[in-house]
Amino acid sequence: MAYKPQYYPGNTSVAKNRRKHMAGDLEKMRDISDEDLTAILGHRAPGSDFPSTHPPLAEMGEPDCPVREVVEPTPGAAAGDRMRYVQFADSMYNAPAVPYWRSYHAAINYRGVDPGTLSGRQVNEMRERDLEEFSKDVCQTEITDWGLAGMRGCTVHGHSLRLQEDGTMFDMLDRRRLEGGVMVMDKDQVGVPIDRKVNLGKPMTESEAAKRTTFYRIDNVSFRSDKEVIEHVQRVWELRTKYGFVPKA
Amino acid sequence: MADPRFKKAMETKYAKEWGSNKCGGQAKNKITDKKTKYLRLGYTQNPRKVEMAKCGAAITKKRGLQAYDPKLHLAGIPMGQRQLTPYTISGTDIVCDGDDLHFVNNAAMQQEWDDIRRTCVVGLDLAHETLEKRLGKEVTPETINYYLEVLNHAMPGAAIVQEHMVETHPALVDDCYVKVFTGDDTLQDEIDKQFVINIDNEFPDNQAKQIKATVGKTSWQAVHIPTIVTRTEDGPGTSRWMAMQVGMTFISAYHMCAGEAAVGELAFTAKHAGLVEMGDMIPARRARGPNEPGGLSFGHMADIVQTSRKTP
Repeated sequence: MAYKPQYYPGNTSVAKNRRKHMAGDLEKMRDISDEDLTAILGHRAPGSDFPSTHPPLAEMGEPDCPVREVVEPTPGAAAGDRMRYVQFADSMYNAPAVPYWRSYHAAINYRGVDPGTLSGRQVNEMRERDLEEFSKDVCQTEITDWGLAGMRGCTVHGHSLRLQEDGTMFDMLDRRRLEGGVMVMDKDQVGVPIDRKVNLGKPMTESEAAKRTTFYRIDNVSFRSDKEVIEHVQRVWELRTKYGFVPKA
Repeated sequence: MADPRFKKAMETKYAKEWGSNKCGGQAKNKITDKKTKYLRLGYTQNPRKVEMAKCGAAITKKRGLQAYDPKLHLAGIPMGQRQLTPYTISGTDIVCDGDDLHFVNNAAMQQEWDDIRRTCVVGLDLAHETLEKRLGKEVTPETINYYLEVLNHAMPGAAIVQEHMVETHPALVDDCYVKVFTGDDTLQDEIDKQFVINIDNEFPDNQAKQIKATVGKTSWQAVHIPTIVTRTEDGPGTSRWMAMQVGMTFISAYHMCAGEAAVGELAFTAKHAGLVEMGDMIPARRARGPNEPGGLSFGHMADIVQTSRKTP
């Protein structure tokens, strides 16, 4: 039988969702076109070539290096793309992704990614074309609910703020909002207006978000309700504390 | 049981109007709400921000060079897209704007910073032992009183045993003083009241009892050098300034020889052996010596903060 990693313990819906995110086993929820995605990322004009910071690796003549022989460059690295970023803020009111889980998801399932985890937001940096491929996955799948999450390069506050009356997460720059039952975005990540209204699909209902979230919350699935998780976390902390401590040695 | 203070603070912050933020009015918030009405009232909802904007505009006009203007925030989107809410200072009922808690705007924070940097505690017992055992001098409550009198003259930067010295102007250094504290009631009674920090008077009974039991029969000087000195020097300068003046005062008060070896012992006591600084040295990459607020552990900071003493 092929080895199947179990990324996270527990039997609650939150624990199961956490495993799904880590395994990259994400349900597609909506379609966002390549051009729309490029527009909201705001790194280059839709339809333009990828700018580069160095010639393609094949033309550069790389030094003789066994590691370079073993590791195949990502398409973006091979082409010499710029490093670019995508950052999401996720509401603590049952957004699908906890910042840490965005990092786990990116680091486990994608190559050439530099994840940065913060308390209420998470940024991933990679070569531009790799970034677009990655962003498409996270924008279209259940890891992102555009009502409770937002693609935000700056002015990111929202994670711990109360939701707006319409149930969506507050955005000071009003980059994306609920219009006619769907989320639309008419500014890029850093709030610069774009030439289109990108349809990001329907936000999740409250009950659906509660079902798909990776947040433990006392008013939904509480952390302490999952015995296996508690045991695991306590074991990890115990081992970390004792690590390397051998009194008899 | 009374409502927890935290709950009250949160209600003040989120469920009552502050300035014209309409927090408790139009937005009708309860602290348990998960949703709210975002009114996007901008900075004018907050009187302090309005005052700052007016002041910034006046400075711009006066100096002919751009100063503070809240409309420059985010290319024209001013702060205040959510309610600008106040803060309750813990342990008190004081409610204030966030801006008032910026250390640049807050005189109390600056005073606290200064007080930490300009303060050190130095023991008297080692010095007294040196005087008695090594030099055969008599140390009595009278000599201690005289010593403290001289020290409060000298500590601000005055000369004692030297001639033709420059000195600091007393009006610039009137915040400088030295007082002593001890857990020994008999000794305390014999020292001039002006020089004593009476633990019983300064702390609630239970805290005073604990402190006195810990201090016991030992006696200590709480030294506060002039603020103006520590603002020009750095944290570690405090103990050096103190040790210089303590050394000179011992020489004068106990009629010592200025060059005798025991002076070195007293200097060592003041600079190292009997010295308690407020903070440790900060990691070298931040390049600050001891006695800076950054080197103060949170536990000590919690002791220094006076809330539990003033409002037990």
